[in-house]
Amino acid sequence: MKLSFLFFTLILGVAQMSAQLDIKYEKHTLPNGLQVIFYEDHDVPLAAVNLWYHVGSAREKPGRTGFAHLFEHMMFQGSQDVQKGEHFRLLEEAGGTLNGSTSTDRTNYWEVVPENFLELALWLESDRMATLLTSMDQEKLDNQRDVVKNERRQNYENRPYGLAWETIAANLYPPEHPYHWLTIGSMADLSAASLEDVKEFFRTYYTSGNASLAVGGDINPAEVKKLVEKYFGSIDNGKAVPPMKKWEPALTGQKYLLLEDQVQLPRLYIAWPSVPEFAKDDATLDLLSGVLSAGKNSRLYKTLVYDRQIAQDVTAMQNSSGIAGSFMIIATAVPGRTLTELTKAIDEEVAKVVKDGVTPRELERVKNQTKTSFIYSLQHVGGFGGVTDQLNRYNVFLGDPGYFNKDLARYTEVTATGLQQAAKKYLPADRRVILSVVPKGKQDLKAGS
Amino acid sequence: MRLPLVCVFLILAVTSALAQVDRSKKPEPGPTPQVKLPKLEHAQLTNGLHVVMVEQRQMPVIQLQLVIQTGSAADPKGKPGVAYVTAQMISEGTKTRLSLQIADDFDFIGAQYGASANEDGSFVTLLTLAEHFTKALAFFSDVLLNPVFPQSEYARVQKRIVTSLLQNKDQPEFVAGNVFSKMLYGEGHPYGEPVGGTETSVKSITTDDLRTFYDAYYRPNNATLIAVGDIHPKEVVAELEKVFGAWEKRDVPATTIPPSPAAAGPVIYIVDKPKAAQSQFRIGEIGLNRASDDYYRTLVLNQLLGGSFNSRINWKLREEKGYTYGARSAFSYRKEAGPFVVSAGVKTSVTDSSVILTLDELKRIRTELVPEKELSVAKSAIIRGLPRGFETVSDIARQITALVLYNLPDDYYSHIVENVEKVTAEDVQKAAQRYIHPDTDAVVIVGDVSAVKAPLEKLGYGKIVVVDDQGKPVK
Repeated sequence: MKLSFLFFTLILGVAQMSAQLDIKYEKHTLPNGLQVIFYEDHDVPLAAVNLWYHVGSAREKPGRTGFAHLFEHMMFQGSQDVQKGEHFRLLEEAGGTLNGSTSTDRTNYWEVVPENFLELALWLESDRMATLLTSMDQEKLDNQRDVVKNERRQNYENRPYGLAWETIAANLYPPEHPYHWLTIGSMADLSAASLEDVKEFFRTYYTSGNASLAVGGDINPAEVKKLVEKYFGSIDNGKAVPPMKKWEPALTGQKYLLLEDQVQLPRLYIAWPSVPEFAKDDATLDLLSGVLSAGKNSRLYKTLVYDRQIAQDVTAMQNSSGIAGSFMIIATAVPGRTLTELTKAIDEEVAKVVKDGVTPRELERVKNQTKTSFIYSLQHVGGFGGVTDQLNRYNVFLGDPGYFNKDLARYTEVTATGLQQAAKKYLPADRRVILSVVPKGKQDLKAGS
Repeated sequence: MRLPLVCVFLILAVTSALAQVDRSKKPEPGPTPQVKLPKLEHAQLTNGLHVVMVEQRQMPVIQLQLVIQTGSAADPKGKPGVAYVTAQMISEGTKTRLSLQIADDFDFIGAQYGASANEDGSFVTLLTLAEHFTKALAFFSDVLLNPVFPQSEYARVQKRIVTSLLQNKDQPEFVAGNVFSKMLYGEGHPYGEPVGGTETSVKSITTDDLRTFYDAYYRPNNATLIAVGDIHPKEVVAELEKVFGAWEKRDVPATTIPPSPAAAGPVIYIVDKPKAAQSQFRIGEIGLNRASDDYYRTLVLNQLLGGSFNSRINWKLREEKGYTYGARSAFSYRKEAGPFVVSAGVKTSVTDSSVILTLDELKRIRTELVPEKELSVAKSAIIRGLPRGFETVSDIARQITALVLYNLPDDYYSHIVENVEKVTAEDVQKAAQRYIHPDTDAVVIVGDVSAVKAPLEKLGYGKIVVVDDQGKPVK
């Protein structure tokens, strides 16, 4: 999943598995449709607010790619009772931290503050949910449009291999599919975004009924419930937006693509359509990616990087989102090697998994790695990937904030046979997108040549 | 979070219709919560290894962190990268286990192992579930005590590091940072050399270099072991004595860092990146060391200058002008004076304007007294933000590492509040005048020379030198 952020940050991968964890939470639904989840954790005197709106770049209209994320930036520009800059200043003064991010299917906002400033965070979130448009103007839009264009320059155009993702999305998904473009959008579409678009988007998607609010940490749920009712209870500005239909694209053959970039070494991207997040086989494909590339003893790392030393790095991943997913393998060739060699080596390793399966120890190792990194991530009550973010993720996509143990089961139930079958079903050598990113003028290094 | 709790409430609440709330009044905070800073327990093993422990039972996890008091500042002359490569190599083979075995042992129990170095120290860390602690500790101590630096593994690791250094040329942020350090400290000063080495230096480093560094500095009397998490300090000490007991102490050579050179500027260095969509810039100079009396003053100064989203430089360049996705400033406090730097990536066409606006902010913080409100926001941010630094076992281990590395007292964190509280607007101004010199700063820009050089020349900020990615002038 590619994310775009309000400001840049390091995001750690969050695996989706736990041991027998039981997370104590409460869920309420206010009459205006706002879903509210409380979670107590009194270890540190902090409170975390995490608010999801069930809208992402998949809802964008043609000619307005990048809008959901640009809109996310507008949410920090003040509202009726909050001046421009005040949102940040008040949270900074409180000793808090904050951020937001936009994916294809959701937009999240969070604050982590000392517990005595919880009401401030709720006030800020409610004010922009209720009154964002009253203070919106062209100057703010133009300013954040420039900021987001700089984000695109910094993280895509001026970054080595930065345009690869956009090229893959455009070729994996048909033009009508909402994953055809990235959340960052195109420069032209960012230029076209208007104040009218901001208003319409807000009225359609930023409604009490389309949001899920998780509050966690050193809190008293009964008291916080009163505060939430006070600040959000009167916002009754719309219902939940019906979920989008799953749309899993299929490829009929191999597509070879080529990009030249200001890079030292060629990099190979192989992408297959797979399955959406939480769908059958999603967890299996996650574990398959681990068997292929997590650690020195993983199949691809050991062969390409450790033994043969033809690749500098190799990564496999199941990129699953709301209505579709893709499985990807990415590898960078060392000097003197071509992407054709890398493709061949990768194909041989995948073919081995398809033919002979994996050993019990390999599967166990990846399950353990997944489980433990999930537990480590739950040490954070707030922020990206913390407990409140997970509660909202489960709630928004599955309607069940307490999905932790079921999520665990998705992974523990995967068998070596299931993994082998998934490799066979989802990683065919004749239906996929193969992108070569090569140094300028070095087309001979590309795959398929 | 506490694990054993097993109760899930699902309440579909029905609340009465609510009146319109008055949001025009900002809510006031409740009483300031008591911040419980973790209690540090100390022990010393018979071989002199200092152990610092924190019992933290909320989650069944444990973080171990070994701090070696020597880092890249002790790299042999002409061989930057030795400390870093040594750290990378200790897990590539021990007396009893091969590289792949070591990786599999850690991975199979889901333990996250890492080793690295910076200018001041070398660090080996391990995050594990408490249930695997004994095993994890055995694996961890093995790589620390028994590495053999096998030539066959090193040949591979060395090539891999050299290739990644080659790849760093693609990253404008990396190039800008490297050239900036080099220009500030000059040839031969350890702070001017990249911690990870250069392609040339790493190619020249041998396993003998690594063994020599390891034998000299990886010694119990030059190290501190930090253990945080679901452990009982007394039990841990007994276990540590068992596995680390055989580690022999030995006199460790002192690391001498030469004095800082004079100001590098005013000068603008440009590294060409043809057709770059953005310019990455670094502006700054050599600042102060961690032991300086001005530490807290510069902490507050930086917070409001470029240390937060709302700080002057980010506000100006991003929220007012829309020139960047983000701009920031930072002091690096090290054993000796580290750099002060302002950094940002800006749209190519506003490179010169961004440099001017940044220099203007650096001048203004020297000449104008900071308004009281701005000062109090910055101080509050630091003081009230303190608990966020102690949330996870890794957070706590990181905080203790700073104490260990810079020889700070255990009650350091309990005194932050009063030390920050007493910083005045005059203090901030004096610190700015002492450490920020916008007339003699070094400016490094990685961007499209054909687009940015002429406008930068018009600024009249010292001479302009086009350099390569190693900081060498380009003809």
